[in-house]
Amino acid sequence: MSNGLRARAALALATLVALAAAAPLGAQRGRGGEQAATPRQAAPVDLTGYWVSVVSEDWRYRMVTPPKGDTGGVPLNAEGRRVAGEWDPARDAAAGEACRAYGAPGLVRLPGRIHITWQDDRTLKIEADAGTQTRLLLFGGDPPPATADRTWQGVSTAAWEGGRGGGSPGAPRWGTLRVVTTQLRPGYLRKNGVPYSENTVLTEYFDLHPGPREATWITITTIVNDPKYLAQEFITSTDFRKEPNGSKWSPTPCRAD
Amino acid sequence: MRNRSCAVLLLLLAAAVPAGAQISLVGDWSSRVHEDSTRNDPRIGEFGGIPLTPQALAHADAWDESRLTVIERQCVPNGAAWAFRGPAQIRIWEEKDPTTQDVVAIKTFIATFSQTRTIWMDGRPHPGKYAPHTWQGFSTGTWRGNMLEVKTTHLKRFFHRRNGLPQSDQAVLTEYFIRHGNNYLTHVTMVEDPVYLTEPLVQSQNFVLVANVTPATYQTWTVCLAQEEIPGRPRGYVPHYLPGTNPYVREYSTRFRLPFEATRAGAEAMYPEYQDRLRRMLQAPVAAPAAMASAPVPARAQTQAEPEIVQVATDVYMIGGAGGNVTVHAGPQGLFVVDAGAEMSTAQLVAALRGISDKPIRYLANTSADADHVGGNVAVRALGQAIRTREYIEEGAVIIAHETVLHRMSAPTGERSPTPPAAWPTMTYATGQQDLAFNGQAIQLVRLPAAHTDGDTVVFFRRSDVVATGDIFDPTRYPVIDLAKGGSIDGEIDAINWLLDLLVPGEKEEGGTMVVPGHGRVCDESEVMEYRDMLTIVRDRVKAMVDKGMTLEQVKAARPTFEYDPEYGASEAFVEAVVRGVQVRR
Repeated sequence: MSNGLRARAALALATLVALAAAAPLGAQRGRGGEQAATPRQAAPVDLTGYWVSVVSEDWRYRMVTPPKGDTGGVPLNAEGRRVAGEWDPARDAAAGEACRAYGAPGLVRLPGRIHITWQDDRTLKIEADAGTQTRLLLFGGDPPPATADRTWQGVSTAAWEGGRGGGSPGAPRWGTLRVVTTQLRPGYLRKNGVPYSENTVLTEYFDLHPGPREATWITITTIVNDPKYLAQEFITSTDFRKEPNGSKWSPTPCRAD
Repeated sequence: MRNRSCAVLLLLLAAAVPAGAQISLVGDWSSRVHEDSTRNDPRIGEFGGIPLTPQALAHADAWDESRLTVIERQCVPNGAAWAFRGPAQIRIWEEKDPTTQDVVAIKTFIATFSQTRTIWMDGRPHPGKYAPHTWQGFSTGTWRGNMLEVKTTHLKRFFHRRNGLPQSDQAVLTEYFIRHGNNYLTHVTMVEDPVYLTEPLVQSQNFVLVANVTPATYQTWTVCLAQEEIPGRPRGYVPHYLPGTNPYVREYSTRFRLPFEATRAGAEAMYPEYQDRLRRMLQAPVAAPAAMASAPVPARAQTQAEPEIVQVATDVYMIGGAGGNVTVHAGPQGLFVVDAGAEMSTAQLVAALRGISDKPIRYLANTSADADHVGGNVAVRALGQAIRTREYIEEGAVIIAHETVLHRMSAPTGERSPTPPAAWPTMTYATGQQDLAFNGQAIQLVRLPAAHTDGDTVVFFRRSDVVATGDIFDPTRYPVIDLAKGGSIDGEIDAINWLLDLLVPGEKEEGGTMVVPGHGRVCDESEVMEYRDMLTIVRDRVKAMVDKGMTLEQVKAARPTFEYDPEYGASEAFVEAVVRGVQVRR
């Protein structure tokens, strides 16, 4: 082999090695480092279990239904403010739309518990006892094509971001779950009618981390993008603490008020 | 060609490293205050979402916003446990070892109050218990995958919420900085505060990476010059409300139609199941709970026994943990020592002194005659040697104190003295002040009468800018006001206000003149201010009670020190001294 050919071969090999290394580790390897075929096996962190929201922020917006027009903190545009000012919970209840505040963009802000399980190897299920809602997070591939059937929880695609701490084989695994949700039925960011539209794109990051007193926490960062009603992205982060079991799990129906 | 291939390979590999494995937080970040949007200016009575103790609530009920106008409080910046929650423009950068290129520290700069914070990444330990506290505390960081975990201790007293809900100086902060993609940063704060929180306070806030930042973005609130804002107020005035008199505590709950009780329910109201109770309360309002006088007082942290040396200034050290604090000024002429600790700690004290300098001890000043300050007099004196003069021919170091200290330590002829003659002051002063020059610096001994006792001395090292206060200022407990020895609450408050006049804080109410208290860690003006505020508030409360005709027992039962007890401990003797002092004044 000539020097030129050898050099080109080396370059090609380097490219292949680099591209292989560039693929997200979570997509390839299981928790033990072995080859893994499914997102469940590739999960760098274990999000399953019962989690309780600890309402230390936006307390008066979350623990009670705030008055109409009280939209503090939400970067609404003029149209958003106008629609928020038309909130009528009795009308929602009568129209069978009591769950408008329980859609994916607002669900984690409601006080309650969530239960995370693997429905199958490619689907992570999040149940919320507030409003008795269920979200399905689908790993791998593109989201299904948009249909007219919009739902409160929309269609969510999920992917692991992360790998092994520091890159060394013995380091603990870490990672973030990134979820993008579309095809949402129009609903409320807060119970008092702060609106989001059917065009909303919801991006979430689920981060697992330890806390004081040997507790485990998930912080869910929520980014709501809705040009129809928002002047800029609406970003919140909600903190859940892991519970030992489901003894406090208490499904309740949606309430419009 | 081979070199070029290698270079390409390296470049590709570098680019191929998963983003998380090479996380960098570096950049300019702008906060998005989309939750708790009033957090920078909360209303009085807005306490929901905080797992507060009854003591925190009592503190907040006494809070008067005018307290922020007190001259010592005007330039106080945001503490680390709160700073990232304000509307903030933040710059994050790394400091690297020039040789190894290892990250030694991650630094943050917040435009609000121009606060720079250092997060040490080199594995260094946190300081000991006698080291000074700062607004930003002492932070160490480690990476947990894509998250930077930061532990912070040594925080100054601040607020969990800026409406009077206090954060104690025992608070410990854990944070996670989590970068999401290129543009987002989530910052989780977890505060444990054994004094004012019943469980950890966990909150999170969000930032967006911003480009094209100009210097003007950060040039806000960079200079603070404290000046009297409300002329005519008496010296040492501390705005506050007496129990049950704050007219604003219900304003928040009334305005937002919230049950008053729920806004003050602490941790219980932070969980989903409280919603049912809230709904019931909204249907049938419940009366607010009565006074919290029966609430338990959280236990104080245990003290450590081993002496610890803290460098306070270039040539001044504090030895903590040998009884009362010992201050040591070291220079070419020898050592000037303030107080000698407790007798039982003499061996450790001597070892600590010799660890600082092997120069002879020339002076030992006693701030009072208390056993935990003069117990080591004999040993320290014997260890030293006075600078010989024609007038002074005693062996050992000069022991200098106000003459009342000599009176207390000695006894009239024929009676047994409480301390051996070798421990007595060998040089006394009878006036208000004794000046001397030593090691090229002016040292002033100032008598502050009728405070802890009638013979208290503070020692001011003028060039080093350090004051040793003796037990006039003791941040670990209420002052011991020894009525039998001429102490009084008004004298104590006067002494603390005199001290505040003397102290010149550094930038942003931190550092500057450093304070070695009678016990506890090295302090600066902010801790003395908090102490003054506590003394004044308790004195005012007791006075109001005595004016109403309450007896000593009734005053004690009303617990006028309630919210301060977790920090300062047993209050019975102090309250009694305050009552007696107030009664005498009437």
